[in-house]
Amino acid sequence: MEQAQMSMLQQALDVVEKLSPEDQETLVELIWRRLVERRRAEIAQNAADTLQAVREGQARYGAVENLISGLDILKSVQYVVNQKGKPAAVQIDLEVWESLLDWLEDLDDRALVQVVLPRLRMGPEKAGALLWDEVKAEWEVPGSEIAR
Amino acid sequence: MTRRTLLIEPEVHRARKYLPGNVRQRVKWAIESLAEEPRIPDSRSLDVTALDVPPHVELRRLQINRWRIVYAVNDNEHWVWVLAIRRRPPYSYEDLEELIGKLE
Repeated sequence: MEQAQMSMLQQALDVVEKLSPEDQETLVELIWRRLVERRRAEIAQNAADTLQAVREGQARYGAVENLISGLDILKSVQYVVNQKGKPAAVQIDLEVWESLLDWLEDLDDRALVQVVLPRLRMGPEKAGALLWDEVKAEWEVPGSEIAR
Repeated sequence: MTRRTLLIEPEVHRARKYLPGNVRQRVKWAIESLAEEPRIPDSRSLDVTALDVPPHVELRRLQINRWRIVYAVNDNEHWVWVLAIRRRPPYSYEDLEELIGKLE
């Protein structure tokens, strides 16, 4: 940290030291809330970009670190604060949650396709795929008459 | 419209017994419908960019409530191949006992 910044920080601490314990607690809470608001604004901007990318199919598939980063910037993240005013949990819009599930399913399905690629290249006959017409009767649920 | 040959992975066929009864019925009907129309509105093409998928094969996903069917379509050879049936997260673990039973 620069010398000038250290000096300003020390001055600020000196001022804070002169406040009553109650005022110091209030000040801490105010600063904390402002930091949270600033962070939320950053999250909203990043999330708007991410959601747009997901909707346009431009989202990149990557490592877990990248996924966590993507989760972290979702647009509608709202903090649930505890009695001390500190964030204790988050909630997101249902629409965003569903988009997120779509995204996770895309990742899951992509991984699945990678696994079955050798079989797809072999073709169904060589790969030993079953003919539906020969096994579909085994899919019947006894006593189940559900309207379509 | 050309009726396609329906195929299913042996693993998916074996897994049918772990599907809830009503889901199994719906999946069965859905698979049946793919023979006539493999690109029904509730389905969509999967992004397989940079994956070496064989020519003329399209990977698709059909959503059925909290479940989905992943399948391949080959218009040249007139087949639809069911590759997987997956449940949409989060899981409720209502079938936990069944899952544990499978492990024993």
